Amino acid sequence: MSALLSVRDLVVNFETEDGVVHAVEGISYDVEAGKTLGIVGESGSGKTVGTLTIMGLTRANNTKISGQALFDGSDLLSASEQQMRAIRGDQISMIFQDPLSSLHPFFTIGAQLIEAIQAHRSVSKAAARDRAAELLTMVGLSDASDRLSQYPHEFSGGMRQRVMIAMALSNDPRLLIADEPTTALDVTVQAQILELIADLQRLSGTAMIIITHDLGVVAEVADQIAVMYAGRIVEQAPVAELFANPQHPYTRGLLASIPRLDRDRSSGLEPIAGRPPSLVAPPTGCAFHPRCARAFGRCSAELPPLEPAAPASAHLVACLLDPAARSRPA
Amino acid sequence: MSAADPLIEVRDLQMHFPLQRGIIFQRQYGAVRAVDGVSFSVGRGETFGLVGESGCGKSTTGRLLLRLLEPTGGQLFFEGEEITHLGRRQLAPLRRDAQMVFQDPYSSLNPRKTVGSIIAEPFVIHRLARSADERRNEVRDLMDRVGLNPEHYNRYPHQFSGGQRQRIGVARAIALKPKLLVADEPVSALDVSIQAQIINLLADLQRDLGLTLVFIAHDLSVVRHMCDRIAVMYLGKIVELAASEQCFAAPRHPYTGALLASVPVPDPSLRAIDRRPALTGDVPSPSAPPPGCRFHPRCGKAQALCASDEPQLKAQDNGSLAACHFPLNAAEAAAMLPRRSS
Amino acid sequence: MIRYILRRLLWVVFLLFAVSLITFIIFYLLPSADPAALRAGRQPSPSLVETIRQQLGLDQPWYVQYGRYMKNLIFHFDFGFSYQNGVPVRQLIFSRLPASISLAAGAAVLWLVVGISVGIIAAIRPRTKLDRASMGLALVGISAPVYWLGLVALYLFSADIGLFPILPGANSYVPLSEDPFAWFTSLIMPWFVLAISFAAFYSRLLRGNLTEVLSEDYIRTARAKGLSERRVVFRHGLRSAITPIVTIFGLDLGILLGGAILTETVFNIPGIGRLSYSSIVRSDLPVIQGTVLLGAFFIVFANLIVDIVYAYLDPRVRYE
Repeated sequence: MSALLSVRDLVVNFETEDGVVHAVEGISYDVEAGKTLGIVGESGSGKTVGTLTIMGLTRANNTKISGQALFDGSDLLSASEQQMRAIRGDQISMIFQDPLSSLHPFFTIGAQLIEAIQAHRSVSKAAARDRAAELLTMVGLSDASDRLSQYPHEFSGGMRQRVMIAMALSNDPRLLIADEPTTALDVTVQAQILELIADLQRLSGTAMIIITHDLGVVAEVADQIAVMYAGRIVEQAPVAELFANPQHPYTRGLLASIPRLDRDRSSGLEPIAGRPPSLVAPPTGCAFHPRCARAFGRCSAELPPLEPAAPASAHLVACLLDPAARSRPA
Repeated sequence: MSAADPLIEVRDLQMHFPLQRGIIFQRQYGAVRAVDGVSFSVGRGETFGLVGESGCGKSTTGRLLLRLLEPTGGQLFFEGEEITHLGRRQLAPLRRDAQMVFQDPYSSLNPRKTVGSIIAEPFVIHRLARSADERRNEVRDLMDRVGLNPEHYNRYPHQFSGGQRQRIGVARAIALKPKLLVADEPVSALDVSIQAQIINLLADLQRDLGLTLVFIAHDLSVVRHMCDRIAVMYLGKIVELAASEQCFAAPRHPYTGALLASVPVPDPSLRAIDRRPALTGDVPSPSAPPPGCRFHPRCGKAQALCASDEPQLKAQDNGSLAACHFPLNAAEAAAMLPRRSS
Repeated sequence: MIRYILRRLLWVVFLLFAVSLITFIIFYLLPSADPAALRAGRQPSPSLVETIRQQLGLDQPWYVQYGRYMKNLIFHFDFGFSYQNGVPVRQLIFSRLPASISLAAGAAVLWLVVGISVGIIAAIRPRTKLDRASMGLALVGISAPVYWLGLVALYLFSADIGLFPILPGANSYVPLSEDPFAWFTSLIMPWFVLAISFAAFYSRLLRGNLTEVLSEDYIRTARAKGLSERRVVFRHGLRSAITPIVTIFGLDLGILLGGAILTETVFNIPGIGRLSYSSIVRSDLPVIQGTVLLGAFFIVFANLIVDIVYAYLDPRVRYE
């Protein structure tokens, strides 16, 4: 089955005063219709820049983009700005991390919702208003018509994120990109929002890319996971497989360094040594090698390709280590 | 555990922030009851956790412990002496013994001062290590102890990463070898792979310096890892007070259970969606807490009594204290936990 | 919102009272000359001065004088009489008011239009030559003193002494009611001169604000919704960036309505500015009080309007 979104060899570089920032260094992945891809990474991994580029939101004079992002057969990266505007908010929608700063403080949420609807559908204001109320009810907000005339600052964080979700789903997009949608929310609210997103996705058959640094969140909602480090995908696998059998030292390092409620209280956490790499002057060879306990000679010279961990496996890893060596404790 | 000689003791502590309104003259029409009657004690050398969501009062409690705020009610004791309403000058000696590490490493360091002068400042303020040489040596020692390169003495905060900046904050806090360290969300603003480094640093320092640590966080996994005892806060009150393992293996208050059930864990077979109780709505405002038990509007086990009678902290079957009329039983608790059923 | 406006209105009243009281006390406590002596003319006899003093009520304690003044003002709209020539102050002021209003209002329209347009263009084309050139020019505009600009303008374009005599020169002001065309042409140079420094300042301010606003998260959301760039910049961006401009505009306009002294002097326009200058020089207290009160009124009232507009623009402010 051909994928809804096919990204191939996406490269994004920013020219800045400090040098060229290698934000994304050649990533490729597929998103199937109705499925969820989770992209996991820390700050500087390129996870957000990649999706913003697919949406066409990083086109500026100092940005160099190459590669392909095939959505329904046509390449988004070479589409005109006008074509992209038609797609944004209609076929592909995005929600962001901080719902307070992501909503315009001066307009009522009704006005912002109606704007999102009327940008892509020629309907009357009254019809758009009805649809907006319907959307608010769908995301679990009561008294929808009263809420339409309220302002963002009158809502709590969880409610605002629901509004963002409503806005993103207002035109029944084929793909929803959620960038750290729950990071700024409380734990109990986070759970509600994740459940809401999963329910809505199931009902409407929307595909989703969820970006997060939280391995728990991707375990919760994703079908497929891609782990990014320094602008590249270092490991990619179906969700159960990734957690059952993590291969890349970075993924294993992450899992070992976070305190977990589902394990017994361990005596100590094993942090990953060192710091995230500079994107202006990334390490040669494998970008993770300076922090890797198992790095050996070739790691600093050769860039490991993203390859199946075992023949014909859906589990891809970018590591020069022998597969057997990766799983062995250091 | 700590009854004999607690370092800190807190009795019915209250912090109400007034709300005012009026055309010309401001009248108080209500208050934000950020901390509304909280009691606990912390023993020497203990790591005590304060956990809860936004608006629960944990950060305010942390500030009250250090007397950065003056309580509007209740009592506060440090090493047996009452410090509730002491004036600024009388509090000065306390400042040497009690320090804080803040959440945001990007805004809690003065960008115009070198790292060396930031860490040396406590010495200057309290007139210790008089000569510049002495101070420089102390600062170098501290930088080394927290894992920073002492040669970077003259660099500015913006030249460091988030994790390193947090180390600078820690160095500054332990400079005068305090007895108490309050860490307010010390790792929330850091990348995941760095969080463990700072957590380990705090644990090591506590062991080496014999610190008493009050750890405030919303991240339950981190709190469980770090702390010996935990207080779970909701809308300005403590709803559960228990040893760490008890709290996380056998929660008794429905809110604690709901918190644990909501945390997503890195195991796809233990999804929170399957575990969690139907907890509706957002946390109510601390200026208008619900009557009776504050959690009752969202609680699955609430009954008529809960709306009228505010429960007090009571000992439970497993030794923890919970403020609930109908606490969770073992089976209910187990269903909420992210554990594989054996 | 109503509560907000009511509170502001009460403040206006209070402020005006305070201004009148302070002005009164200043001139009572620190007179630069004895008004009775000035009024009496050249080399007056002491008895004449004393008579005049009694006539003017200057022998009464200050609070009595103040009370009398305020009573006249509030109940009879009587500002008193000029010490200089006995003309009612009200007449002096209101006859000069149209000129000041013409000057201020026209310049305001001009500087708003130019300043905002340039600011927007510079903000949406950051770091291009257009941006740098316009901001550089703006810097010159802000730095040049208004009287210098006025004199240069006259030197270049004035009909009587200019190099390219295309516009009426100084002293050519004609009220609108007399001759609209002449009124308009006589004000073209003063408008430009007055507007240049404000336009420059506003364009720099708006450029800064708009650039900052355009990097905010809600602008990213607007783009992600697929809105046209024009809508993003104008409806979402400008709406946020304009609020500080609204605040400053109120202040600037309020101050100018009270008299643009330098411009009026250079172009010899019979406005409030020149009246207040001459009355200060001659210690003509009633006229000074009148112009100060009028100036205060304009500023306070302009700020009231600005506060209301601000609350309309930014809903978060309404909850104070």
